[in-house]
Amino acid sequence: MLGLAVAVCAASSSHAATTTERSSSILIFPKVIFDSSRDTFIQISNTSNSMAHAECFYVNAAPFCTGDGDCLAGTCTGTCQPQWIETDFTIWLTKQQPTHWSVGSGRLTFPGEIPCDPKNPECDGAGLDPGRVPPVTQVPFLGELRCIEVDQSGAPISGNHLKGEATIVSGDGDAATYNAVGLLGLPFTNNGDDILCLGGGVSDQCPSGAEYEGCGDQLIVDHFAEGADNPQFGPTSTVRTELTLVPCRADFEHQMPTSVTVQFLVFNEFESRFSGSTPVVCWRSFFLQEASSIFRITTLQTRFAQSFFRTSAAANSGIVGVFEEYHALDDGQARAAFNVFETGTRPTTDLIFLPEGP
Amino acid sequence: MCGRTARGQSLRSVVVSIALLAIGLAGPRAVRAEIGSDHPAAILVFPKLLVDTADGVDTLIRISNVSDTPINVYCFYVNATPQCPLADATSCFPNETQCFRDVGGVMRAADCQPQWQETDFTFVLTEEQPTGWLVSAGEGVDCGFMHGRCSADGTTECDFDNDCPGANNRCVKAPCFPLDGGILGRTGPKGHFNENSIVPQSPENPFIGELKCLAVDETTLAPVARNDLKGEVLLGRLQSGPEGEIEVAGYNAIGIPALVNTCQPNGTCSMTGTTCRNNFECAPTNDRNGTLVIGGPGAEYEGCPNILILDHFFDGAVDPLVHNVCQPDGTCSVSGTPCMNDNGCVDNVCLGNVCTVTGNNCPGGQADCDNTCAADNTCTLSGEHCLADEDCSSPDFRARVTTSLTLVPCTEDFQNQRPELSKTTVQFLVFNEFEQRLSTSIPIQCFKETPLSQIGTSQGPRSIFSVGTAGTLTGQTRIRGVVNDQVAGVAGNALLGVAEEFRCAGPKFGFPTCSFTDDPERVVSATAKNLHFQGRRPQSDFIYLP
Repeated sequence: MLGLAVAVCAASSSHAATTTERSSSILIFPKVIFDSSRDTFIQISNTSNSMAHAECFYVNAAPFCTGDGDCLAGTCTGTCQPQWIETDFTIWLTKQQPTHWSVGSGRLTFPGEIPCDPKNPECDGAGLDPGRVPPVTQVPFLGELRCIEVDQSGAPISGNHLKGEATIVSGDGDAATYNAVGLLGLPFTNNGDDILCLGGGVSDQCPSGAEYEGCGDQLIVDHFAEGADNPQFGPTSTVRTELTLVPCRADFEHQMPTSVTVQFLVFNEFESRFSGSTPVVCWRSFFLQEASSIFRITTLQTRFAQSFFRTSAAANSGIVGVFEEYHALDDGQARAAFNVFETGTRPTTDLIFLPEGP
Repeated sequence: MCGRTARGQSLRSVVVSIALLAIGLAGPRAVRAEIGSDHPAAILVFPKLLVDTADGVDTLIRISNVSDTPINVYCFYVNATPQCPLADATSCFPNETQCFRDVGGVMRAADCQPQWQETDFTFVLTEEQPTGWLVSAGEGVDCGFMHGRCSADGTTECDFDNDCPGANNRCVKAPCFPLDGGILGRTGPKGHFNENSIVPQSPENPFIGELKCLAVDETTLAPVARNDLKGEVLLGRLQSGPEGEIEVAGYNAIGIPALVNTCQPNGTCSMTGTTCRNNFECAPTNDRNGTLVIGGPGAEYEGCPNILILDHFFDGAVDPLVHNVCQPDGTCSVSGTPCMNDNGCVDNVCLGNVCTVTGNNCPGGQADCDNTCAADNTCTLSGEHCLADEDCSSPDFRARVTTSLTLVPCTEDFQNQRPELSKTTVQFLVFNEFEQRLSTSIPIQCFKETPLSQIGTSQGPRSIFSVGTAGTLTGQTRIRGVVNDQVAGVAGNALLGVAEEFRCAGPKFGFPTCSFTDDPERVVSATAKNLHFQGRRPQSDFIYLP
């Protein structure tokens, strides 16, 4: 019966790609930061009228200093080793329940937490705790958070009950918010095992085909040329764009980081075309000019540009991402975060391997 | 299949088998993109634009053509700036309900009048071309005739980069369409240019309103089913004065995809289900007339969402991540005031005859900065009723959050200017983190911009959106435009929207009301986000073109 069903279904593939506005079964927060100057505020909600459970994975991709000092600050006395460390935990949300935590502090469970009142607007822990959410296990933390909807037994399900946002708050109070990237679970095909199949067709690892919508084929970013001015703030202002990319594929079972080569096409306002490529190993956040000098205003020659990012055809994973703009004038700075646009769906399957359960 | 765990798999495999068979028998489903702010589309909706250049507020629009063929774009500014019927009165901008005029020492009040006025314009984007403009200034094809200023000092006038000496010194000009065409003008590599493109400046300054843009053909401005447009908005504020602090908040334009009837691999058209061998045999669903049908029967574009979902801080909540601490340079990290230690950044200290948090003068010294119970049983700083000093809330520094919501209707009549088509009730269903449910509703006509805690009340601290009432830091709100039967068949009453979040500096007892336009000097930071969607309206919404 299964074979017949698979054969009949094989011709049908997933259509839409990721979403940043629909409740989903997998939430990816591509940019989660906790360091000496920034923390990230996570909000997740259950949009259904029944309980929802999720298994969440922090992935720390901050380079590890083998000696003293800090790799990010450039003070490491040893060598900086790339790392890809995951920490997982579960949350459960009641009907329509929202919840939140900061990744630096996590969310502890205090049943007696006093609710907010007009004289007590400082009430971080009030509400039904979604479970004990740990703080990130290492400082600095630069990486992603991924939450996967599961049932009470811990098996992945295509409930599409979760939505989320992340707000990166810096020490001076500046904040930038983006919506979590969601992957819709497909009805009927999710077999509840530990290999999640994003898009594509039937294979040995995905006997029932796609269990979730596939990742987008191509990401589109409209941005300022690096170092261009913001016309509102005058000729001496500058804008830089930090793009964060995460492979869709993740192997939490074997702790194997996914490496992809990202190709990009850039168009300026003259319709001139530039191109290049850059590697992404498990997680990467970079100012555009760090990937290539073609993003600079001196090369692009126009204030605005449109860039298309995609992984190579041979890559074993697509990518998702967000970008943050840093607007600067004299000593002042302000940030704004945007979700990335995308088009198309990857024809091949991206896999997420979950750790084996009890 | 090694390494795989069977979690309740036996029952599941049977269910999966039956389900797969059901899918197979049902046949392939139609390919339909949904309304969203993460995919290119044929109609772009920018729900909130804000201009008040006198106070440094402006909006930067960015739009791109993601395709490799030029596209004509037809846009409509909708001016929703409320008007005061009294001359020389206080401003109604951006969302005041009343305005006042001093007549011989007597204040005369009047109700602010809502406005809904459209201004349209067109421009061309060549292949893969991005563009952008300030709403206050617009954009033309006059790059060659514009003067700029050098980037190094911002004052030296220039026409070309060579006029600006020094490394990395460029001639910066205002936004313009650079492919001006013509005999002496510039064209793209394939000879395309921004023919007759112009974006007017905002119809008013100050201005609040929305922008809608759609893909049209070159000659008749008839709509075309091309999902090739994407856009972003950057709301910004430049504080005047020597500090020159800046704030920005960005969101993506909401895209409404056109429905395209294509021939699928199984030989049926995606929208009509008729048999086909190629796309030409699938009749277009867009009749390209001046009435755009959004969702529902006879849809030409994807339907608007049934429900909008907003996750938010309850207004007045203290942001647990913002800490005003003393930095090594002797200034507080958030407030920027001088300090010796962290306490100096939190306590309401009398410094230079001014209280550092509450801002009142303190000729009497530190006692003027303490919130104490006065003889008339009111607290000296907060004005609360009290019997003892303990009843008076702390004046310590906190960053408290307030959220501003903007809603616009999916249905709009640019032909006959009938805002009554989109008149309806908005229902808000609010859940706190205890799963407790609260609700309220307000009327909406053509545009609504409001702090959450002003919905259904003018007393923010008493609102169901205030942290003191809701009881938890954050909440989830479901927003629904109620179907108005009186306009059935000509409007659907669905809504779209965007939210802005402001962190406001001030004493712990002060309910936050700051934004780019209200109490802006208290804004610590601003951020914006797109709302989530749920469901699709069975009724059609319509856009009526002139």
